[in-house]
Amino acid sequence: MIRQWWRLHINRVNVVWFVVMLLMIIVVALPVYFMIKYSISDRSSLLTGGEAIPLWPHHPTLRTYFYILSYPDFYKAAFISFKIAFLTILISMMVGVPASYVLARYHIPGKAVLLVSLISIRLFPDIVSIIPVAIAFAKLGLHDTYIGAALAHALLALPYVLYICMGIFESIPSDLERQAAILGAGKGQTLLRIVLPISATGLAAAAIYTFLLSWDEFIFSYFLLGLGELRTLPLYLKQKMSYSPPQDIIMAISMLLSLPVILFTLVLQKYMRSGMTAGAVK
Amino acid sequence: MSFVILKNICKHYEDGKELVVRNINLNIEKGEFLTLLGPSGCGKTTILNMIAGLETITSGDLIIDGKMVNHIPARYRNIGMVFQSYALFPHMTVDQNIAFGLKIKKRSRLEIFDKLDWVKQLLHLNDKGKSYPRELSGGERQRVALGRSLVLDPAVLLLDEPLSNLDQELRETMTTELKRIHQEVHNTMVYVTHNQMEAMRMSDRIAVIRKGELIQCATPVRIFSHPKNRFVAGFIGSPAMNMVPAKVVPSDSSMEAAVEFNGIRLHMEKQKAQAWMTMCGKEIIAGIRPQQIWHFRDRDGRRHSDTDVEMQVMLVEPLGDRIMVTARLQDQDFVFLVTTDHLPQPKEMIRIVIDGRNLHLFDTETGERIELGEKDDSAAAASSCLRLQ
Amino acid sequence: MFLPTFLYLVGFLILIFYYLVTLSLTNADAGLAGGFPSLANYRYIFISAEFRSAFLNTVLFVLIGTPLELIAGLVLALIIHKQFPLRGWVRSFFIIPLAIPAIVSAIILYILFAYPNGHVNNLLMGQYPFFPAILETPFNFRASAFYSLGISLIGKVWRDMPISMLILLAGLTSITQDQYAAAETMGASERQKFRYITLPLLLPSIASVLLIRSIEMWKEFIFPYFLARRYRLMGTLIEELYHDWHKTGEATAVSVVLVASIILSAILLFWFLKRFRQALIRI
Repeated sequence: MIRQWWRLHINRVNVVWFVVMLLMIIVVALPVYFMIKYSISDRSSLLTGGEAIPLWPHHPTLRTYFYILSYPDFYKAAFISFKIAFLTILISMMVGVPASYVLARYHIPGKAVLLVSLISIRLFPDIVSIIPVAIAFAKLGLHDTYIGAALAHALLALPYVLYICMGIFESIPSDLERQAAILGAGKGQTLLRIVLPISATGLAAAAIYTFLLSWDEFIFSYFLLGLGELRTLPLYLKQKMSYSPPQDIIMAISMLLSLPVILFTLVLQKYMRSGMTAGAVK
Repeated sequence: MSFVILKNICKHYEDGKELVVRNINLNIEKGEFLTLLGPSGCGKTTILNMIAGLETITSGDLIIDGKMVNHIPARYRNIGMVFQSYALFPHMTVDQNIAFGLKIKKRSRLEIFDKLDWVKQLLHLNDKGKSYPRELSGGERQRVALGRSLVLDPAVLLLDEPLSNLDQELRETMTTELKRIHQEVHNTMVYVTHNQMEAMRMSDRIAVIRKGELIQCATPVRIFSHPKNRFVAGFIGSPAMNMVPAKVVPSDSSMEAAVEFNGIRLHMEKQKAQAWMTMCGKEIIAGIRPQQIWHFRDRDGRRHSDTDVEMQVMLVEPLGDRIMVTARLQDQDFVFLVTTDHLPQPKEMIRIVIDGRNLHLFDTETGERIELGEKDDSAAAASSCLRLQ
Repeated sequence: MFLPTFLYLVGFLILIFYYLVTLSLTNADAGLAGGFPSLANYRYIFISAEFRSAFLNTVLFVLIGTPLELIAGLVLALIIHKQFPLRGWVRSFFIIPLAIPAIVSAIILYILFAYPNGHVNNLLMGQYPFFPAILETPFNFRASAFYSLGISLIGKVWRDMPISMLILLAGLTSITQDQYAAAETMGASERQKFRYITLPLLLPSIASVLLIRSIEMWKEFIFPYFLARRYRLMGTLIEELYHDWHKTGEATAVSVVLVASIILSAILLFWFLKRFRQALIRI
């Protein structure tokens, strides 16, 4: 049986395909491997004094992690990142979800304008948008504040929230709501007891996506918080970079920074697929 | 020599040793419209795909126009195929879709436009040339699919249930259309369907397939009047044939037999009745077509083979011009049609007449139709699809 | 319910637009006299060699990076498109570059290409048994415009290729088997099937990828910031002008040029793709 399967599947095209697949797997895995490797490297594997850096540490150790995790500055940065991320979720969901519901269900005159402005925001590089925002925020006293950063992050997240939630609401047949109305439920009740539970998973996806966006965010944070007290994790990482510390610390911090993202992304990638591609293939 | 010959064609899939198609022997004449008819999953589409070259032939020979084509890839077989889903290219206009095959073969622009015009004229698609598939109705899309294949003047045109996706009205129209096109262009056409009415209306011959096997291949008339077994008898004809367990008994005259069931006795035509005397005592299944049953008031005159019966009406279903009645005699249900002059009501008794001529008698075990005492029909023998010895 | 979002987004947009225009047209050096409006900033940057090299570098970055991303995404999509066991796992695996924060990816590359002692240098000097020595002395990647920008380009492509993959995959799966079968019966060879069916039907996806990724290439900041500090792209130039030199006027002027370039290139690409598509299928 296996032999027959083998015979059928070994031919020139399949061999090429298999080789290419292996190649791509290696290409994808390589940087990740090095990140992991450096984070568990011991001193002798880093400061080799002219010798080649080993491809696998001489004495792999989790020492670096323990070191970082005991460092107050790290905790401070992580905490700040968390706080901002949650604020961002709050703002963008509170603003985005009702709006996307309205957009999905009704025809609003301003709809076209909104959608155009959504696309236009994406045309501006972050680095370009940040200058006016930083200046305006400074004037408003929002510089170096939690709320300022959250507002800026929400700006980045809103298009995605709108897009994902609009998709969710559009996929819920409006018949369900009409049915509820016929059975006597008021508008508020309908939303709470019918629409929300059904859309919960999708909304959760949007929230998680927002969290990750804020967690990873570098450019806006750099300009709004960089010179001040508040330091998010990405900024903390950058700061460490400028003092050229040993790679193990850098990579360990990177690992800790990446972990929630990787986890959530793998869980989320089903939603990501339909959300991103549907919009992209216009 | 026949134009398309299937000789001992078999197919089984790699993972199972089960034969999906068993030993099909079929001779298709040039210009013939042959239908492969059978229930879903019987293998008819597989056979079609094998003729097309879209599926491999496990064993047996496939000969088209004198050449053995088993191992020739589909694109060199000069066949045309219309798919159930039409498979139109969504990114091309109707003109481009139809011209596709010609363009691939690098024909001249002049020739392409000529053929394009001819096909569009034939299929009444003249002003749809620049439209895209998404702008067309179901019937129009189907015609484009047809046109795509016709324009290449294929040796054989294969159609895989092309009418299944259409609504009733459209199906009616297209059935007639297909017949008309066949008469005009006179291609060799192999048509696959599970709809026996389509098959009866359009085909020159029908090949009934069941579980991968060819059961019977004959003209529609022959298949209707001489079904080879219970399966074919029950499959062809609407409403379906009534099947009754019965017994062959001597009738009043000692030289003739009759068929007895549920307390009544049916008389057959003289020649047959005499021949069946030898089978007296045998238990058989009697097949009575609804068309052989009349309301007693509709039957003018009485024949020797007529038998009066009273049954209780169980179900009444109006069909518009006639009424379909399901009535019960003892433990057996019978289905037949009456004119709208009568308005039978459920639970009422109804008096009907059964004509014992052209009874179909099947063996209880094998289900095969027992041909005894039937008129010798040489034309019928010649229309068989089996290879002559 | 709709209003807050509307105001939020449109508000920001207006804000950004307003500031960019006014600031770029404000001559900070003119003091009280002159000031606004003035094209001094624009004049300054168009003369500056730094700006011109940054502009050129960015254009090259976009021109080389966009096709690379398309090809990488296409390869990945074609790999995943085939049915094989563990297919779902491999696809999830291929998403990983996207999951890792951009800074992290940039820093990993930074460390790998370290001078004098980094993995890549070690490799090229033959210090690993399985690889021959190509260099005699370690190479300072960061000192070369070509290499440092090249590495940041590769980093960016590596990071974003899952996006192209997903878009192209969606396009591939929408082509039904039936259409290929129909083409086959009409006489098409493998190459013809690819040219007349796969390619045109995939073109919308390819167009999306090219359009979106080219815009992202123009906007790129993080990779060049970490890996090619000395050789500016327009994005990093803006940062330098604003952050280090506090030359807001020039920074915003470059910003305007950048945005204009993005819009222009998007329009050009759009027009070109449209023509290409029509040319593919003519009788």
